[in-house]
Amino acid sequence: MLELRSISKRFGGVIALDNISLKVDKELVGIVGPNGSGKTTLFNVITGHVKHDQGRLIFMGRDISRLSIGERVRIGILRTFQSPKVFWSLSVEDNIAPLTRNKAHVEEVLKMLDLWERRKAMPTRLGLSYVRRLEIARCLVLDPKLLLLDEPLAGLSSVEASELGSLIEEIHRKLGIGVIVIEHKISHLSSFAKRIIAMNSGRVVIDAPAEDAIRKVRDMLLSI
Amino acid sequence: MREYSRKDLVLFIVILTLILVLPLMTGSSYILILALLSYLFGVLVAIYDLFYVRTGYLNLGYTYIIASCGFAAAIAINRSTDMLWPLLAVSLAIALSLPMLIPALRLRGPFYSVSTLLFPFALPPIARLFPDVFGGDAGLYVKPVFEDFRVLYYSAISLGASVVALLMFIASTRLGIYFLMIRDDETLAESSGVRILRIKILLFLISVLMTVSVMFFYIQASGVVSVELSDPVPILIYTLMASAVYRPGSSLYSLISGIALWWLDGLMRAYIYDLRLIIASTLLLSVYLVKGVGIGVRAKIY
Repeated sequence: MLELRSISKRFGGVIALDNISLKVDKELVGIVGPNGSGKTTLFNVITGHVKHDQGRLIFMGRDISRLSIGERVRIGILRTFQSPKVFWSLSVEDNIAPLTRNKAHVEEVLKMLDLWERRKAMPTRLGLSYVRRLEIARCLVLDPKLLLLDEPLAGLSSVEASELGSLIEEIHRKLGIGVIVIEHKISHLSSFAKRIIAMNSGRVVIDAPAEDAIRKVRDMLLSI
Repeated sequence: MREYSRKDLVLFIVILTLILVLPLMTGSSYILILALLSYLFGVLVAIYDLFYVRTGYLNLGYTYIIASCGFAAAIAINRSTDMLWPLLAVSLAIALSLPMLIPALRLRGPFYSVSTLLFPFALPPIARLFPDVFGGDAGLYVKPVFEDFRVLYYSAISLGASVVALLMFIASTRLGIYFLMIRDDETLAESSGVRILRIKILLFLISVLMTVSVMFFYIQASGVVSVELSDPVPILIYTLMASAVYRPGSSLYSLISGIALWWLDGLMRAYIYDLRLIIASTLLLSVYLVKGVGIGVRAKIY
């Protein structure tokens, strides 16, 4: 579905992405790594918020390197952001309903994310967990083929994180779409991601099934 | 999203009725012209409120668009001998206002606002440079299209009401919500599939079309168009203040406060010309203090 071929990105003297090559199919992938390892830059490159310097970006067999943010949205690449981003002056329903003409779909998405009862509420009245759900709802209503979630569990209690993790897994399973989740804590990812990619200094250092990746990370930490 | 309540619609009808029956209550042409100009100014504020306040693209050069549209209409009326003058007026208005689209496509936030502020100051030197076209500092006298003032009065009221009704309709549609999305977070709006570029161009074109149609009646009522219209003081100040009085971005309340402010300004011009800005500002600041809303605290734009 998505293929990154030798993607590099520099910000001045800093190498944010260093010759990254990856393939992601309709799977649930977790990305971990310390601050500055290039996780969010990778998302920004995939969604077109940042232009890469080298390499090719292939989505469903098509080179999307030159497409704008909006064009990438329209072919099904949707994302959330590291800091919660919703339309704060609009109600939960108005955050997503104008984005599609399919009202039944809006209802379905709101119900799936447990937001239906809160549809008239303003996002400022919601807890962080529900704001995160609203961000995901905004993506789902646009019928994503690839969903990129940037630290959706950050700032949540362990119970809330576990619930949202299960919900992300359910979304992936029900919709049969590719989902990539960035997370700081590998323990959070291990509960729902099937494959984990670890990044450091702009490079992919581990790319393995979840259990293997956790073992490798543990071994790496022990060797330090 | 329900944009307007029944109370709002009743208020709109009451204002409209009051203006419609005014000629029956007074025969003073001074009062009627002042009322008409105030009403048309209110409509201009309502246009500004929807397209520039609601989207967060605070255009500080709107007086340039007002003046350009005024000149476009005047030139078309004075020079065109056939019935094609409305088409000429619209084409000229778009051509003259077009440079203002560039900052809208390239800049955001305060950078956009400051860059637009340059436009009103560019118009007077251009007018002096081409006196045959713009009439220099004195401006242009406008050939009257309406022989009977009442026809002009009621035609202008009808046009203004149609424009405001259309603005209220737009505010209630998907496009109206997109405006709010763009104001809240343009990056997020773009990442949600909102076609920002298309909306900005559409917004520009509709606002110019509406402004030129209002300005046609405005210059018919005033009989003259000059670069004074592009002066941000007091027009821009009144526009910003009027749109901030209550529910910025809704168009309806900015129409009402725009009418009131221009009416007050017109009356004060006759007696206390130099003090009028201070008095109008003090009055509006008092309203902001009482209501607890103002330009600086617009997070809760309706």
